[in-house]
Amino acid sequence: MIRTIANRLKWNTVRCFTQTCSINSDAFLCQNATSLKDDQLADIKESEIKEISDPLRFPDYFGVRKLFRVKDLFDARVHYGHKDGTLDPNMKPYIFGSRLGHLIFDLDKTAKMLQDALNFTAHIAYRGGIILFVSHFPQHTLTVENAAKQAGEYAHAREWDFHIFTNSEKVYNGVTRLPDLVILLSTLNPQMQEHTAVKDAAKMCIPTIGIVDSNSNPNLITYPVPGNDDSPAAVQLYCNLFRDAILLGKSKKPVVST
Amino acid sequence: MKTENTPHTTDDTSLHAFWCLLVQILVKSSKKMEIIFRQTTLSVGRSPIFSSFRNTGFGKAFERLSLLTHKSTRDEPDIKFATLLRHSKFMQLGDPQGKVIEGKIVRVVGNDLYIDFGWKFECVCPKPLKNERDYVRGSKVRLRLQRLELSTKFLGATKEITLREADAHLIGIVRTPFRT
Repeated sequence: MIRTIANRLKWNTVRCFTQTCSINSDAFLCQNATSLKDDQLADIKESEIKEISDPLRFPDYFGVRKLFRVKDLFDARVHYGHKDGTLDPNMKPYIFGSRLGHLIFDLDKTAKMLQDALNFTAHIAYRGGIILFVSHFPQHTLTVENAAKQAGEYAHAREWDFHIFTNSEKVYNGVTRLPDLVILLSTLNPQMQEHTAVKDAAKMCIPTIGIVDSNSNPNLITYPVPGNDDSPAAVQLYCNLFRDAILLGKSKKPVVST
Repeated sequence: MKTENTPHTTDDTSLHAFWCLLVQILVKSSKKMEIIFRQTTLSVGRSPIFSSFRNTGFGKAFERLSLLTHKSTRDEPDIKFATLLRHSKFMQLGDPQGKVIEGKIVRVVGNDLYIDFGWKFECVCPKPLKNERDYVRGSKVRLRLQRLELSTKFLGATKEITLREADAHLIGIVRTPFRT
C-alpha cells in the first residue's frame, strides 16, 4: 500500500513538472494573455490546448511589444530630429517639441507606431510574404543588407533602378513576383528628395513601412514610424527589430506535414 | 523519539512511520517543485545543468549575478519619455555653442576624422599635424562644439538644406588605443 501511494505521489509530481514546463515554454501565448482584454481571456484558455487558428483575432499575436521599450529607443537616439527649418509640416503631430531649434520626436507616439509596424511585419512573414528592406544612404548599406540576410528576406540598399516595380516584366525579362512589404529605413535619397520606392510601392499597391525623419513626408507610407534615420545606432536598432519581428512571424508558421 | 510515555501498538508504530515518510516525501517534492518552478519561470538563458551547483559557492554567485542582469533589462518599470528627456545629457548641454565635450573617432578617411559624440550626427574634423599617430579609430578626443547641425536656407528656398553633419573644433586627445 505504501509503495503504490509513493508511486502515485511520484507520478503527480512528474505531471505538475510537465505542466509548468509546457506553460512556460509557450511563453508568447502567456504574455499575450496578459495583454488582452478580460473577455478574450476565456478564448485563450481553450485555445492554449488546441492550436490557435486565426492570429488576426489578437492585437499582438507574436508578442512584438516585448521586443523593445521606450528606453531602448531613447538610448539608440531615435528621438533626435533635424532642425526647425527643415521640418515637413506633415510631421508636426509626431514632434514632442523643439530644443533650441532642434526637433525632438515624441517617443510615446513613435513606440505605438513602431509596434503596429512590427506587428504588421510579423503577420506578413507568418503568411509567407516577401519583404524588401530599402535604404539609400551608403553608411547604412551593410547594416540593412545584413539584417535582411539574417531574416532570410531581401534588401535593396543601393541606387534605386527606375521601373523595377512599375515595369518589372521588361526589366527582369519575365513574370516577377513583387515584394508583399517594403520596409524603408529612410524615405529620402542622398539628394534629400523622396525615395522613388515610396511612390512606386504606392502605385503597385504594396504596403510600406517607413522610418520618417522630421524632413520626410509620411503621407504615402502605410505604416510610418517617426524617428531618427541618420544615426547608425538608430538604424541598427530598427534593423534588429524588424529582423526579430520577421523571425517571430516565421517561427509561428504552421508546419504543413507532407 | 517518544516510546516510553506514549504507549503504541505495533500497528500504530508502522502507521506513524508511514506518515513520517509521507510528510518527508511531500516536503521534499514541494521543495523540488519550488526550485523547478522558480527555475522555469525565471530562466531566459539558465539551463537545468546548474541546478547541481546550487549549494556551492560558484552556484550561489552565478545565481546572484544572473538575477542582476536579468532584472536590469526586463523587471524595471517603464520610464516615461518625458522623464528620460528631462534628465538627458542633451538637455543639460543647453546652447551647444562653445561647449566642451568628449567624442570617439569612428572612421578615418584620409586626413578627415569622423567623430561620434552621442548626437544624431557625427562631426568631421581634419587630423591635427601634432601627434598624428594618436588619432586612430577608437580614440577618445575632446571637442569644442560650434553647431549641432549644419543646415542653412539658400536664397529663395522655403526649406533649409542639411549637410547631416555637426560642426566642432578638435581640442585634444583624451585616450588613444595606440599608446597604452
